[in-house]
Amino acid sequence: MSAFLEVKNLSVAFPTEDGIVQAVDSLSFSVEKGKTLGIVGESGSGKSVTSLAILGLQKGSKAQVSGEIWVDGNEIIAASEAEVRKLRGKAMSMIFQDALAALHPYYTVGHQIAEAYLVHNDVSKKMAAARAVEMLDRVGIPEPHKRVNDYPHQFSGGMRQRAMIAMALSCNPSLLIADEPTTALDVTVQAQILELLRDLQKEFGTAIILITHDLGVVAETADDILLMYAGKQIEYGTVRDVLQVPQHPYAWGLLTSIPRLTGDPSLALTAIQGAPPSLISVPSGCAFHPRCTYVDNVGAACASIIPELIPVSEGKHHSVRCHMSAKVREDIFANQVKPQL
Amino acid sequence: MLKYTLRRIVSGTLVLGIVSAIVFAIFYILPSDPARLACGKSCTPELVARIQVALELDQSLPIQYGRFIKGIFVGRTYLENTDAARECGAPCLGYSYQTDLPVTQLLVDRLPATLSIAIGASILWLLIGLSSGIVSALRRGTWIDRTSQGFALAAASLQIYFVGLILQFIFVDKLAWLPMPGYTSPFDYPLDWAKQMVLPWVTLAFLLSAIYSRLTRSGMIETMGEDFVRTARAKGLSSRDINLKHVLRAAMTPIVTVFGLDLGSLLGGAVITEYVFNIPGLGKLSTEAVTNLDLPVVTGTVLFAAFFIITANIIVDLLYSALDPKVRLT
Repeated sequence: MSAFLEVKNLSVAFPTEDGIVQAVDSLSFSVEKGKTLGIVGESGSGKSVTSLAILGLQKGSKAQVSGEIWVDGNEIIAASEAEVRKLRGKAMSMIFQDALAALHPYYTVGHQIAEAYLVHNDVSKKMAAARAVEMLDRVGIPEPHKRVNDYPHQFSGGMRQRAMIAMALSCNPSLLIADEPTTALDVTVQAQILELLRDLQKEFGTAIILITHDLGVVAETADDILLMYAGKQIEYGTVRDVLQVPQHPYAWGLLTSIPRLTGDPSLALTAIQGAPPSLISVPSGCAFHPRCTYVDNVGAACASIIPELIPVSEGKHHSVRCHMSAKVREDIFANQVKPQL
Repeated sequence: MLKYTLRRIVSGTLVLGIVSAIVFAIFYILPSDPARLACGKSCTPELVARIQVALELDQSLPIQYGRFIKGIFVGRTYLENTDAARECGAPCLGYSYQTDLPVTQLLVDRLPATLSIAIGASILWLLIGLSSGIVSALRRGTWIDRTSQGFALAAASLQIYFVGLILQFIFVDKLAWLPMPGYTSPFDYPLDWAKQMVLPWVTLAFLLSAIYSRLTRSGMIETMGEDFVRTARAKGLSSRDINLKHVLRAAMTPIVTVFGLDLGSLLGGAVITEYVFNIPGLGKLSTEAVTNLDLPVVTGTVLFAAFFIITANIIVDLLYSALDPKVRLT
C-alpha cells in the first residue's frame, strides 16, 4: 500500500530579477494516514513553499514546479487548477501561520468556516452554518453559537488559530498541512493547539504535515522528521532516530543550541555560526559547508560536490546528506555532540 | 451609532455656519457695492440708497449675518414695519440681486438638472470603471489590461471642456445624432431628457471611469496578494467566488469612499460640465452668480454644495463602518 501523500523529487524555483531562486530542490518524502511528519528548518529553507506546492497553490504564478506529488492517488503538479481545486479543502487542507492575515477581515468566522464546508458538500446554507458552530465547538471555542458571528479581529490569537483549524478540518480532510500553527502563540496556547491536532488526528485518522522551526514541538507531535536546509532535505527519518542519533552537523547544531534546565545557566547558548544562505547564491557543494565545524574531516568535496541523500544504514528509514562517512559521524556524535545534550 | 450620527450632524451644521460666514465676509471685503449692482442702468444715488435699505445693506455685518442665519431656520421679513415689508419663509436664503427671485426657489429650480447629470454620470462611470478595472486586474499584463489602462491614463489626463467640446462637435454638429445638450424635465419628456443628457453623462463618465478603473485594478491586485485570498484558494473555492467574494469585497471599501465624496461634490454642481454644455444646473447658477457678484445666490449655492459634501462625508463614514467590521464609530 502506498502512502496517502507521496512527494517525489519536488523542486520549486522562482525566476526573479536577480536570478532563479531554487526554493525547494529535489525533495522526496511520504506521509501515511494517521501519521505526522514534522518538517523542520529555518526561515527560507523551503518549508512553506513545499506545503504550497502540495496544495497546488503555485499554479498560475511564475513558480516553476517539477517532480511528482501524489495525494490519494492524484498527481498534483501536472493536474489542472480545476482538478486540484476539488482536492483542496476536502482531500487536503492547510492551517496557515498568521491566522489574522489568513482570515478575511470582512466576513465572520462562522461564514468563513461554512463557506469551506459548502464548497465540497451539497448542503443548505443553514446546515453549513450549523456545521460552523459544531466545528468551533469541536476546537474548543466557548459559546460557539455566539462566537460564530464574530469577526476574526474579535478573536484572540489562540482562538483565531483554532478557528483556522476548524475551517481546515470542516470537510474532514485526509491530509492536513499545518504551517507553523503555533509560532505566534504563547506556550500554553501552543500546547493546547498541538493537543487539539493530536486529538483530531486520532479521531479522523488524518495525515498531518507539521511545519515548524521548533524541534520541541516536533519531538512531541511527529512520527517522522524531515530536516531542511537551503531548499534541500538534509536528514530524514523517524523522530526517534533523528533526535536520538542525529547524523547531520546541522541537526547537531540545532540540538545543542536548545537551552536545558540541567545546563549551567552562566554559559552562553551554543549557536550555529554564520547565517542561513541566500537562495539566490546558495553555497557550492554542500550548502551547509560554510557553517559546518566538521569540514576538515572531509576536505575539498564539501565545497564542490553536493552530497547525496544516503541511508544511514542499509535498509533503514533514516537518511542524511553529508560527505562524512558513517563511522566519522558516529565518532563525532558520540564524543563531541552527545556530551553536550 | 446613533450618537455618532447625531454628533456628525451637529458638527456638520457648524461647518456650514463657518462656510457661510466666510462667504459673507469675503463679499463684505470685496470693493463692490451690491446695491449699485442691483440698481441697474438707470440708477440714481437716491435709488441706490433705497436699495441699500431694502437689502438691509445699511446694517452692520454681524447683524446682516445674524438675520441671514435666522432666515434659514425660521424665515425673515425684509423692511419690517414698513409698507414694503416682504415676507421670506424658512428656509430663506434671501433674494437674488439680479433677478429678485428667492434664492431658495432658484436652488430648487436648478437642482433637477444637476441631479440628472450627477446620477446618470455616476451610474455610467461606476459601470465602466469597475468592470474595466476588474477585467484588467484579472487579466493583468495581457493586451486587454494594457489597452484599458493605457486608455484610462489618457482619459484621466484629459479635461472636461476638451472632451466635451470634441464630443459635441462630432455627435451634435457633424453627425447630428444627438440634440444640443440641455435640460428638459424627465417627467414630461423622458426621451428628450435622456438624449440631451447623453453628452454630459458620457463626458463626465469618460474622465471619472478612468480613475475608478485604475483604482479598482490596483485595489484588486493588491488584495490578490493577501493571505486571506490564499486561504480562500486553499479551501477549494472557485476562482469566480475568490475574485468576487474575497478579492473584490475587500477592494471595494476604498472605492465606495471615493465614490461617496465624488458624488457629493458633483451634487453641489457639476460646474465645468454644466458650463460647457450650457445646462441650467447648480454649477452654472453659481458661476453666473459669482460673475455678477450676486451675493445671496453665491452664498446659497456655496452652502448647498457644502451641505452635499458634508452629507456625503457622513454617509461615507457610516457606510465604511458597515463595510469594514473593524471600524467602530465612537
